[in-house]
Amino acid sequence: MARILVVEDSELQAKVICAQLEAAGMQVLCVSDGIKALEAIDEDRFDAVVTDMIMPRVNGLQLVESLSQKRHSPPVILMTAFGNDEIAAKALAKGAASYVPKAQIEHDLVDTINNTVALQRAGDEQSRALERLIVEQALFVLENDPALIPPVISYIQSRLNERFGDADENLMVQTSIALQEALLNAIHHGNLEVSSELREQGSEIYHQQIEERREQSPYKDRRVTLKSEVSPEGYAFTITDEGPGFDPSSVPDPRDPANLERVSGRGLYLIFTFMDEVEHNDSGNEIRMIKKVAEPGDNEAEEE
Amino acid sequence: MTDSSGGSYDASALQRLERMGGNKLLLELIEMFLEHVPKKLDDARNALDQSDLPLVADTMHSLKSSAGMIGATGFYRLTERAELKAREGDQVELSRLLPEMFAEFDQTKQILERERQERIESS
Repeated sequence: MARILVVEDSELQAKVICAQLEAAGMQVLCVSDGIKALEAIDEDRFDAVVTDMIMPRVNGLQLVESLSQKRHSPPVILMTAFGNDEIAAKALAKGAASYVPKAQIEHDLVDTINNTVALQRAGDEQSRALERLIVEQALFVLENDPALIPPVISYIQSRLNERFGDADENLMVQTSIALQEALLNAIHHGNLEVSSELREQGSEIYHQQIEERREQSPYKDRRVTLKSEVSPEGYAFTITDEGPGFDPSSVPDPRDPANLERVSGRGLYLIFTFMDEVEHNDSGNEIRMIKKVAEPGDNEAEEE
Repeated sequence: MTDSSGGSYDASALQRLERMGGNKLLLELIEMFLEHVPKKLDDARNALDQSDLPLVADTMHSLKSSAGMIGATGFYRLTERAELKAREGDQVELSRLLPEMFAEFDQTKQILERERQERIESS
Protein backbone atom coordinates (compact mmCIF):
# COMPACT_ATOMS: atom_id res chain seq x y z
CA MET A 1 0.00 0.00 0.00
CA ALA A 2 1.48 3.34 -1.01
CA ARG A 3 2.01 5.93 1.74
CA ILE A 4 1.32 9.41 0.51
CA LEU A 5 1.90 12.76 2.21
CA VAL A 6 -0.53 15.46 1.06
CA VAL A 7 0.48 19.07 1.68
CA GLU A 8 -2.48 21.43 1.27
CA ASP A 9 -3.44 24.47 3.31
CA SER A 10 -7.11 24.44 2.26
CA GLU A 11 -8.89 22.12 4.68
CA LEU A 12 -11.66 21.34 2.23
CA GLN A 13 -9.27 20.59 -0.60
CA ALA A 14 -7.16 18.44 1.70
CA LYS A 15 -10.20 16.46 2.82
CA VAL A 16 -11.30 15.77 -0.74
CA ILE A 17 -7.84 14.72 -1.90
CA CYS A 18 -7.26 12.50 1.12
CA ALA A 19 -10.66 10.87 0.65
CA GLN A 20 -9.92 10.28 -3.02
CA LEU A 21 -6.54 8.71 -2.33
CA GLU A 22 -7.84 6.55 0.52
CA ALA A 23 -10.62 5.31 -1.74
CA ALA A 24 -7.87 4.33 -4.21
CA GLY A 25 -6.26 2.17 -1.53
CA MET A 26 -3.51 4.53 -0.40
CA GLN A 27 -2.45 5.37 3.12
CA VAL A 28 -2.56 9.14 3.47
CA LEU A 29 -1.29 11.78 5.86
CA CYS A 30 -2.48 15.35 5.28
CA VAL A 31 -0.56 18.37 6.58
CA SER A 32 -1.30 22.03 6.05
CA ASP A 33 2.07 23.53 5.14
CA GLY A 34 5.60 22.84 4.00
CA ILE A 35 7.19 22.98 7.45
CA LYS A 36 4.87 20.27 8.76
CA ALA A 37 5.62 18.31 5.59
CA LEU A 38 9.37 18.42 6.22
CA GLU A 39 8.84 17.32 9.83
CA ALA A 40 6.65 14.43 8.69
CA ILE A 41 9.24 13.32 6.13
CA ASP A 42 11.97 13.36 8.77
CA GLU A 43 9.89 11.14 11.02
CA ASP A 44 8.37 8.69 8.59
CA ARG A 45 8.75 7.13 5.18
CA PHE A 46 6.49 8.15 2.29
CA ASP A 47 6.28 6.82 -1.23
CA ALA A 48 5.33 10.23 -2.63
CA VAL A 49 4.45 13.78 -1.64
CA VAL A 50 1.53 15.65 -3.24
CA THR A 51 1.75 19.37 -2.65
CA ASP A 52 -0.08 22.59 -3.33
CA MET A 53 2.13 25.36 -4.68
CA ILE A 54 0.96 28.42 -2.77
CA MET A 55 1.02 27.90 0.98
CA PRO A 56 2.01 29.96 4.00
CA ARG A 57 5.44 29.57 5.64
CA VAL A 58 7.01 27.13 3.16
CA ASN A 59 5.48 26.96 -0.32
CA GLY A 60 5.61 24.11 -2.84
CA LEU A 61 8.77 25.36 -4.54
CA GLN A 62 10.59 25.78 -1.22
CA LEU A 63 9.48 22.30 -0.19
CA VAL A 64 10.91 20.82 -3.39
CA GLU A 65 14.17 22.74 -2.88
CA SER A 66 14.49 21.50 0.70
CA LEU A 67 13.83 17.90 -0.28
CA SER A 68 16.36 18.08 -3.12
CA GLN A 69 19.07 18.67 -0.49
CA LYS A 70 18.28 15.38 1.21
CA ARG A 71 20.02 12.22 0.12
CA HIS A 72 16.87 10.13 0.08
CA SER A 73 13.54 11.87 -0.30
CA PRO A 74 10.21 10.86 -1.80
CA PRO A 75 9.21 12.10 -5.25
CA VAL A 76 7.08 15.26 -5.22
CA ILE A 77 3.96 15.73 -7.33
CA LEU A 78 2.75 19.31 -7.68
CA MET A 79 -0.87 20.41 -7.75
CA THR A 80 -0.92 23.39 -10.04
CA ALA A 81 -3.52 26.05 -10.63
CA PHE A 82 -3.94 28.87 -13.11
CA GLY A 83 -1.39 31.52 -12.24
CA ASN A 84 1.07 29.06 -10.70
CA ASP A 85 2.86 28.29 -13.97
CA GLU A 86 6.11 30.06 -13.22
CA ILE A 87 6.57 28.72 -9.72
CA ALA A 88 5.57 25.22 -10.85
CA ALA A 89 8.09 25.33 -13.69
CA LYS A 90 10.79 26.28 -11.20
CA ALA A 91 9.76 23.43 -8.91
CA LEU A 92 9.96 20.93 -11.78
CA ALA A 93 13.42 22.27 -12.66
CA LYS A 94 14.42 21.88 -9.02
CA GLY A 95 13.43 18.21 -8.95
CA ALA A 96 9.68 17.75 -8.63
CA ALA A 97 8.68 14.51 -10.33
CA SER A 98 5.39 15.47 -11.93
CA TYR A 99 2.36 17.74 -11.70
CA VAL A 100 -1.43 17.57 -11.89
CA PRO A 101 -3.53 20.66 -12.62
CA LYS A 102 -6.06 21.13 -9.82
CA ALA A 103 -8.85 21.10 -12.39
CA GLN A 104 -7.79 17.54 -13.30
CA ILE A 105 -7.30 16.14 -9.82
CA GLU A 106 -10.43 14.03 -9.97
CA HIS A 107 -9.27 12.30 -13.17
CA ASP A 108 -5.47 12.33 -13.07
CA LEU A 109 -4.15 12.46 -9.52
CA VAL A 110 -4.44 8.78 -8.61
CA ASP A 111 -2.88 7.58 -11.88
CA THR A 112 -0.07 10.13 -11.63
CA ILE A 113 0.73 9.02 -8.09
CA ASN A 114 0.64 5.33 -9.04
CA ASN A 115 2.96 5.89 -12.02
CA THR A 116 5.39 7.96 -10.01
CA VAL A 117 5.48 5.51 -7.11
CA ALA A 118 6.00 2.56 -9.48
CA LEU A 119 8.99 4.28 -11.08
CA GLN A 120 10.44 5.21 -7.71
CA ARG A 121 10.05 1.66 -6.45
CA ALA A 122 11.80 0.29 -9.51
CA GLY A 123 14.78 2.47 -8.66
CA ASP A 124 14.59 1.62 -4.95
CA GLU A 125 14.54 -2.12 -5.72
CA GLN A 126 17.86 -1.80 -7.49
CA SER A 127 19.26 0.29 -4.63
CA ARG A 128 18.18 -2.38 -2.15
CA ALA A 129 19.98 -5.00 -4.17
CA LEU A 130 23.08 -2.83 -4.52
CA GLU A 131 23.24 -2.26 -0.77
CA ARG A 132 23.60 -6.01 -0.37
CA LEU A 133 26.11 -6.45 -3.19
CA ILE A 134 29.40 -7.05 -1.42
CA VAL A 135 31.76 -7.32 -4.35
CA GLU A 136 31.15 -6.94 -8.05
CA GLN A 137 33.86 -8.36 -10.27
CA ALA A 138 34.50 -8.20 -13.96
CA LEU A 139 37.22 -9.76 -16.09
CA PHE A 140 38.11 -8.40 -19.51
CA VAL A 141 40.55 -9.99 -21.98
CA LEU A 142 41.69 -7.46 -24.54
CA GLU A 143 43.59 -7.65 -27.78
CA ASN A 144 46.30 -5.04 -28.35
CA ASP A 145 43.83 -2.52 -29.69
CA PRO A 146 43.74 0.86 -27.94
CA ALA A 147 40.30 1.48 -29.48
CA LEU A 148 38.92 -1.08 -27.03
CA ILE A 149 39.93 1.02 -24.06
CA PRO A 150 37.16 3.71 -24.18
CA PRO A 151 34.22 1.25 -24.25
CA VAL A 152 35.78 -0.84 -21.48
CA ILE A 153 36.29 2.26 -19.36
CA SER A 154 32.74 3.38 -20.15
CA TYR A 155 31.37 0.08 -18.83
CA ILE A 156 33.46 0.29 -15.67
CA GLN A 157 32.46 3.92 -15.17
CA SER A 158 28.80 2.93 -15.37
CA ARG A 159 29.31 0.35 -12.62
CA LEU A 160 31.21 2.83 -10.48
CA ASN A 161 28.56 5.51 -11.00
CA GLU A 162 25.91 2.98 -9.99
CA ARG A 163 27.74 2.36 -6.74
CA PHE A 164 29.31 5.73 -6.04
CA GLY A 165 27.07 8.10 -7.97
CA ASP A 166 27.04 10.56 -5.06
CA ALA A 167 30.84 10.77 -5.00
CA ASP A 168 32.95 13.64 -6.36
CA GLU A 169 32.66 13.85 -10.16
CA ASN A 170 36.41 14.42 -10.47
CA LEU A 171 36.95 11.04 -8.84
CA MET A 172 35.38 9.27 -11.81
CA VAL A 173 37.40 11.28 -14.32
CA GLN A 174 40.67 10.63 -12.49
CA THR A 175 39.90 6.96 -12.16
CA SER A 176 39.20 6.73 -15.88
CA ILE A 177 42.50 8.44 -16.68
CA ALA A 178 44.47 6.12 -14.38
CA LEU A 179 42.80 3.09 -15.93
CA GLN A 180 43.46 4.33 -19.44
CA GLU A 181 47.15 4.93 -18.73
CA ALA A 182 47.55 1.51 -17.15
CA LEU A 183 45.89 -0.24 -20.09
CA LEU A 184 47.95 1.69 -22.63
CA ASN A 185 51.12 0.80 -20.73
CA ALA A 186 50.13 -2.86 -20.71
CA ILE A 187 49.46 -2.84 -24.47
CA HIS A 188 52.31 -0.62 -25.67
CA HIS A 189 55.12 -1.38 -23.23
CA GLY A 190 53.99 -4.76 -21.97
CA ASN A 191 52.63 -6.81 -24.86
CA LEU A 192 54.12 -4.87 -27.78
CA GLU A 193 57.40 -4.14 -25.94
CA VAL A 194 57.62 -0.64 -27.36
CA SER A 195 59.95 1.33 -25.14
CA SER A 196 58.61 4.46 -23.52
CA GLU A 197 61.99 6.08 -24.27
CA LEU A 198 61.14 5.82 -27.96
CA ARG A 199 58.58 8.52 -27.32
CA GLU A 200 61.37 10.93 -26.53
CA GLN A 201 62.40 10.57 -30.20
CA GLY A 202 59.02 11.60 -31.49
CA SER A 203 55.44 10.57 -31.53
CA GLU A 204 55.50 9.38 -35.16
CA ILE A 205 58.29 6.82 -34.68
CA TYR A 206 56.65 5.62 -31.48
CA HIS A 207 53.24 5.03 -33.02
CA GLN A 208 54.72 3.51 -36.16
CA GLN A 209 56.40 0.80 -34.12
CA ILE A 210 53.19 0.18 -32.21
CA GLU A 211 51.24 -0.38 -35.45
CA GLU A 212 53.93 -2.66 -36.87
CA ARG A 213 54.08 -4.86 -33.78
CA ARG A 214 50.33 -5.17 -33.57
CA GLU A 215 50.62 -7.24 -36.76
CA GLN A 216 53.73 -9.22 -35.82
CA SER A 217 54.21 -12.37 -33.81
CA PRO A 218 54.72 -12.92 -30.94
CA TYR A 219 53.31 -9.51 -30.00
CA LYS A 220 49.99 -9.72 -31.80
CA ASP A 221 48.96 -12.88 -29.95
CA ARG A 222 49.46 -11.44 -26.50
CA ARG A 223 46.50 -10.29 -24.47
CA VAL A 224 45.85 -7.86 -21.64
CA THR A 225 43.58 -8.96 -18.82
CA LEU A 226 41.78 -6.42 -16.71
CA LYS A 227 40.15 -7.53 -13.50
CA SER A 228 37.97 -5.01 -11.70
CA GLU A 229 36.54 -5.41 -8.21
CA VAL A 230 34.00 -2.94 -6.85
CA SER A 231 32.94 -3.03 -3.21
CA PRO A 232 31.22 -0.54 -0.88
CA GLU A 233 34.63 0.71 0.26
CA GLY A 234 36.07 1.38 -3.19
CA TYR A 235 37.51 -0.44 -6.14
CA ALA A 236 40.61 -2.18 -7.42
CA PHE A 237 41.92 -2.87 -10.90
CA THR A 238 44.48 -5.51 -11.72
CA ILE A 239 45.98 -5.28 -15.21
CA THR A 240 48.21 -8.02 -16.50
CA ASP A 241 50.05 -8.21 -19.80
CA GLU A 242 51.80 -11.19 -21.41
CA GLY A 243 55.04 -9.46 -22.17
CA PRO A 244 58.41 -10.18 -20.57
CA GLY A 245 57.88 -7.58 -17.88
CA PHE A 246 60.44 -5.28 -16.36
CA ASP A 247 62.23 -4.63 -13.12
CA PRO A 248 59.90 -2.25 -11.21
CA SER A 249 62.77 -1.13 -9.01
CA SER A 250 64.59 0.20 -12.06
CA VAL A 251 61.87 2.75 -12.84
CA PRO A 252 62.53 6.28 -11.52
CA ASP A 253 60.23 7.35 -8.71
CA PRO A 254 56.83 7.53 -10.43
CA ARG A 255 55.66 10.07 -7.88
CA ASP A 256 58.38 12.54 -8.78
CA PRO A 257 56.69 15.68 -10.20
CA ALA A 258 59.61 15.93 -12.63
CA ASN A 259 57.75 13.24 -14.59
CA LEU A 260 55.27 15.89 -15.59
CA GLU A 261 57.89 17.46 -17.83
CA ARG A 262 58.82 14.20 -19.51
CA VAL A 263 56.98 12.44 -22.29
CA SER A 264 57.66 9.06 -20.71
CA GLY A 265 56.76 8.57 -17.07
CA ARG A 266 53.65 10.69 -17.33
CA GLY A 267 51.31 7.71 -17.30
CA LEU A 268 52.72 6.21 -14.09
CA TYR A 269 52.77 9.63 -12.45
CA LEU A 270 49.05 10.05 -13.10
CA ILE A 271 48.29 6.52 -11.92
CA PHE A 272 50.20 7.01 -8.67
CA THR A 273 48.59 10.42 -8.14
CA PHE A 274 45.01 9.43 -8.78
CA MET A 275 44.93 6.05 -7.06
CA ASP A 276 45.46 5.39 -3.34
CA GLU A 277 47.60 2.28 -3.64
CA VAL A 278 49.61 1.08 -6.62
CA GLU A 279 51.98 -1.84 -6.85
CA HIS A 280 53.62 -3.93 -9.52
CA ASN A 281 54.30 -7.61 -9.22
CA ASP A 282 57.93 -8.71 -9.09
CA SER A 283 58.12 -9.46 -12.79
CA GLY A 284 56.65 -6.11 -13.73
CA ASN A 285 53.88 -7.39 -16.00
CA GLU A 286 51.08 -6.76 -13.57
CA ILE A 287 49.89 -3.60 -11.88
CA ARG A 288 47.28 -3.42 -9.15
CA MET A 289 45.59 -0.09 -8.42
CA ILE A 290 43.28 0.53 -5.48
CA LYS A 291 41.00 3.47 -4.74
CA LYS A 292 39.14 3.92 -1.49
CA VAL A 293 35.95 5.93 -1.76
CA ALA A 294 34.71 8.07 1.12
CA GLU A 295 30.94 8.42 1.77
CA PRO A 296 29.60 11.95 1.18
CA GLY A 297 30.02 13.77 4.46
CA ASP A 298 33.03 11.75 5.54
CA ASN A 299 35.37 14.59 4.64
CA GLU A 300 33.24 17.05 6.62
CA ALA A 301 33.39 14.73 9.61
CA GLU A 302 37.18 14.49 9.30
CA GLU A 303 37.53 18.26 9.09
CA GLU A 304 35.50 18.66 12.28
CA MET B 1 -25.74 29.83 -12.42
CA THR B 2 -27.31 32.26 -10.02
CA ASP B 3 -29.62 30.89 -7.44
CA SER B 4 -32.81 32.73 -6.62
CA SER B 5 -31.15 33.95 -3.41
CA GLY B 6 -28.57 35.74 -5.56
CA GLY B 7 -25.37 33.75 -4.94
CA SER B 8 -23.45 32.57 -8.00
CA TYR B 9 -23.07 28.86 -7.85
CA ASP B 10 -21.97 25.82 -9.89
CA ALA B 11 -24.20 22.87 -9.05
CA SER B 12 -21.96 20.40 -10.89
CA ALA B 13 -19.28 20.88 -8.22
CA LEU B 14 -21.38 19.12 -5.58
CA GLN B 15 -22.16 16.34 -8.04
CA ARG B 16 -18.44 15.90 -8.68
CA LEU B 17 -17.71 15.76 -4.96
CA GLU B 18 -20.45 13.22 -4.48
CA ARG B 19 -18.91 11.07 -7.23
CA MET B 20 -15.51 11.28 -5.58
CA GLY B 21 -16.52 10.47 -2.03
CA GLY B 22 -20.22 9.73 -1.71
CA ASN B 23 -22.99 11.57 0.09
CA LYS B 24 -21.26 11.31 3.48
CA LEU B 25 -18.15 13.12 2.27
CA LEU B 26 -20.24 15.76 0.53
CA LEU B 27 -22.20 16.54 3.70
CA GLU B 28 -18.95 16.77 5.70
CA LEU B 29 -17.50 19.16 3.14
CA ILE B 30 -20.56 21.40 3.16
CA GLU B 31 -20.38 21.47 6.97
CA MET B 32 -16.66 22.30 6.88
CA PHE B 33 -17.22 25.09 4.38
CA LEU B 34 -20.01 26.67 6.39
CA GLU B 35 -17.88 26.59 9.58
CA HIS B 36 -14.54 27.39 7.98
CA VAL B 37 -15.34 30.40 5.84
CA PRO B 38 -16.68 32.82 8.52
CA LYS B 39 -13.60 32.16 10.67
CA LYS B 40 -11.27 32.75 7.75
CA LEU B 41 -13.09 35.93 6.78
CA ASP B 42 -12.70 37.19 10.36
CA ASP B 43 -8.99 36.29 10.22
CA ALA B 44 -8.67 38.24 6.98
CA ARG B 45 -10.46 41.25 8.46
CA ASN B 46 -8.17 41.24 11.49
CA ALA B 47 -5.11 40.88 9.28
CA LEU B 48 -6.27 43.79 7.11
CA ASP B 49 -6.82 45.93 10.23
CA GLN B 50 -3.20 45.24 11.13
CA SER B 51 -2.09 45.83 7.53
CA ASP B 52 -0.71 42.28 7.38
CA LEU B 53 -1.34 41.90 3.67
CA PRO B 54 0.70 38.71 3.19
CA LEU B 55 -1.56 37.03 5.73
CA VAL B 56 -4.61 38.42 3.95
CA ALA B 57 -3.27 36.99 0.67
CA ASP B 58 -2.62 33.55 2.16
CA THR B 59 -6.08 33.50 3.75
CA MET B 60 -7.73 34.47 0.49
CA HIS B 61 -5.77 31.81 -1.36
CA SER B 62 -7.04 29.18 1.03
CA LEU B 63 -10.62 30.46 0.76
CA LYS B 64 -10.35 30.52 -3.02
CA SER B 65 -9.41 26.83 -3.07
CA SER B 66 -12.33 25.95 -0.83
CA ALA B 67 -14.77 28.05 -2.86
CA GLY B 68 -13.64 26.46 -6.09
CA MET B 69 -13.99 23.01 -4.64
CA ILE B 70 -17.56 23.54 -3.39
CA GLY B 71 -18.75 25.35 -6.52
CA ALA B 72 -19.26 28.79 -4.96
CA THR B 73 -18.31 30.63 -8.12
CA GLY B 74 -19.31 34.12 -7.00
CA PHE B 75 -17.37 33.74 -3.76
CA TYR B 76 -14.46 32.25 -5.72
CA ARG B 77 -14.23 35.31 -7.96
CA LEU B 78 -14.20 37.65 -4.97
CA THR B 79 -11.49 35.70 -3.13
CA GLU B 80 -9.42 35.51 -6.30
CA ARG B 81 -9.60 39.29 -6.68
CA ALA B 82 -8.90 39.83 -2.99
CA GLU B 83 -5.81 37.58 -3.13
CA LEU B 84 -4.52 39.54 -6.10
CA LYS B 85 -5.15 42.90 -4.40
CA ALA B 86 -3.50 41.70 -1.19
CA ARG B 87 -0.38 40.68 -3.13
CA GLU B 88 -0.43 44.07 -4.88
CA GLY B 89 -0.72 45.84 -1.54
CA ASP B 90 -4.05 47.50 -2.33
CA GLN B 91 -5.60 47.96 1.10
CA VAL B 92 -8.29 50.31 -0.20
CA GLU B 93 -9.71 47.78 -2.62
CA LEU B 94 -9.47 45.05 0.02
CA SER B 95 -11.50 47.18 2.42
CA ARG B 96 -14.17 47.43 -0.25
CA LEU B 97 -14.09 43.73 -1.10
CA LEU B 98 -14.37 42.27 2.37
CA PRO B 99 -17.96 43.34 3.11
CA GLU B 100 -18.89 42.13 -0.37
CA MET B 101 -17.38 38.75 0.45
CA PHE B 102 -19.35 38.47 3.69
CA ALA B 103 -22.55 39.25 1.77
CA GLU B 104 -21.73 36.75 -0.99
CA PHE B 105 -21.01 34.09 1.59
CA ASP B 106 -24.40 34.62 3.22
CA GLN B 107 -26.09 33.95 -0.11
CA THR B 108 -23.92 30.92 -0.80
CA LYS B 109 -24.66 29.64 2.68
CA GLN B 110 -28.40 29.62 1.95
CA ILE B 111 -27.82 27.54 -1.17
CA LEU B 112 -25.58 25.05 0.58
CA GLU B 113 -27.89 24.68 3.58
CA ARG B 114 -30.70 23.89 1.19
CA GLU B 115 -28.57 21.37 -0.71
CA ARG B 116 -27.52 19.79 2.57
CA GLN B 117 -31.11 19.47 3.75
CA GLU B 118 -32.24 17.91 0.47
CA ARG B 119 -29.48 15.31 0.66
CA ILE B 120 -30.20 14.47 4.28
CA GLU B 121 -33.89 14.00 3.47
CA SER B 122 -33.19 11.87 0.41
CA SER B 123 -30.64 9.55 2.04
